[in-house]
Amino acid sequence: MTDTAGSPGAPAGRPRRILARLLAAAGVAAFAVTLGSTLAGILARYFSVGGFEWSFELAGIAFLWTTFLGVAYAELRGDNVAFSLIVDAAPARARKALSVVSALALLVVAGALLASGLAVLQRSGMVPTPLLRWPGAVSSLPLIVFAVAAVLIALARLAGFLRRSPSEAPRR
Amino acid sequence: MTVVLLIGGFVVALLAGIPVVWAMGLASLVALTFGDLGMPLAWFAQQTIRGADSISLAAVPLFLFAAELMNRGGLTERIMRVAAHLFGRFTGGLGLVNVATAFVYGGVSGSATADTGAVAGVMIPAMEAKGYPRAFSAAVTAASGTLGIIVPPSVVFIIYGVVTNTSIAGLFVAGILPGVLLAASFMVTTWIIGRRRGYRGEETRANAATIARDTVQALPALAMPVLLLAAILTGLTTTTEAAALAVVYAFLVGTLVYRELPLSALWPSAVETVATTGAIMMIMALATPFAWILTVEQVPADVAGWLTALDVSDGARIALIIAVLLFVGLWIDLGPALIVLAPILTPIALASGLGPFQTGVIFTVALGVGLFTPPVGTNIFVVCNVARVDMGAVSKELVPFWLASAVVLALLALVPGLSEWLPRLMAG
Repeated sequence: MTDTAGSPGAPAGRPRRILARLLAAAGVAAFAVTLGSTLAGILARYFSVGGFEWSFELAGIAFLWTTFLGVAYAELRGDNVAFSLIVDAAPARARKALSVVSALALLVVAGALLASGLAVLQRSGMVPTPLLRWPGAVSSLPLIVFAVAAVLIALARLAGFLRRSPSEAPRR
Repeated sequence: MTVVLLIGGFVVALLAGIPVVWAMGLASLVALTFGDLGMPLAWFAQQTIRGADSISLAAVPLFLFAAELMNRGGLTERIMRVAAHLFGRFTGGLGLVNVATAFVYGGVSGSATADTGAVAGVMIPAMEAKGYPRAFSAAVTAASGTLGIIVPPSVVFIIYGVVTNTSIAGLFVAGILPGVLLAASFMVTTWIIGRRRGYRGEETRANAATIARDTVQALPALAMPVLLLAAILTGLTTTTEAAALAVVYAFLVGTLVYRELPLSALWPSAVETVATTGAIMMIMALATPFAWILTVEQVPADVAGWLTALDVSDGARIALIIAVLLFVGLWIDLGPALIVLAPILTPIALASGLGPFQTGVIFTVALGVGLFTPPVGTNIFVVCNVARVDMGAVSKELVPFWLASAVVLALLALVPGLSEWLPRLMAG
């Protein structure tokens, strides 16, 4: 598995590896469903096979899962783009402080998305999708799963910062 | 007040080194909490899901995966060999080969970062081995990597099409001539530099049999963008379906034709695709509540009103828009910049006389220049990483390529036919 070096203050060790593997495996599975159902839709249309009208709805749902699992995995790898010019130029102590601020920002955004996503789930989680007639929760759950993973990543980072001295503050 | 909180919060978060995607989310949250929007909490998640919920956008991971498979299946070397036969003998030969390889690879990858990464790994060591300075090799690669977002299929065109409700197929076709023009301008720049510095071309030429063999070997790769465009333009497939078929095609070429793509490469390719998709699409998702607040607070209308009220010609207004795009591109990555600015500036550009496809191409090229300009240039980061060379040295070598891009941008703005003619011709 591709599991590159983590981001500043990335949670280290076994829990991080397990979370990375889970997110990558689930993300790849969702991507495979996106690809498979899109191809199934094309084949069904060109060979006039009925009963595959749901394929594009499934592709859309799987794409949402790919996106939200993917961004959690990307965050774990430190892939999300930042404007790091000022942080890089800052002294070690300030760099550490800014890294803590960054982890806090992730925590706040992920926490808000979690609370907000749960509210959406409560309101429209049982509204059926147009073709598959699945509960609408299939579209809001990926956001909630992402938010939980991101909260865990942020908390682990903050715990990691508490254990480090200022001179160990990482560069992006 | 809400707008100040939104934009102020975003800028402060960016400067603090918070990733762009979370900076956007945080700014929206601050505006939602302390502004006067009065929206329920569920609104934030609803808008975020809506931002990523488009079947057209599903083409993004599919094209990225096809590019991963093509790259791991030995495509880049084969394109490079053909490009070397065509351009290697000219002054600055390997620089020209670099640009040509990036142009063709752009027709597969649709992404500047993928294009730059793939070409850098092959071309920078090859150029260095022939005596080209490392910084120059890195600079040519960083600039020509931008072709990946202009030459169809382009991930950026897909995003622009979704954000501004412009035909994605039309944008793909519109990118052909500007892509050729940009590639030609980079080639001329490389040739001039090569002539001044004495970078000589290859003296030995391959025989006809070798050229024919290498061309035939590269044909399946060279044919891919043509087949994709044909499928989309003839209405045989949608963009997303064409992207799915591109995956099948790349897999078959890599395993059955080139026989260089092991099945074990599928997993890392898919993992890379998922991570890149997440990073790109989450910006799109969180930009949706951000853009919604801007719209509700009348920011696009106010900016449009301000720009329209300026006592200047349409040409000057267009120049001002391009200047804004170039400036923002210096600081913010192309994706988020496009998602935030396109809905605001596109209507003004259209009202100032630009065509819809011309606007899309200009936005993409102008923000694309930011990919190879410091301080925040993703392509520069990629090439510096591959070439192990200082960013300052590469930036110095990039100056002529910035000038070449400025000339191309001016031409694109002055000659609408460059981006509007082909889509109109195809539409009949």
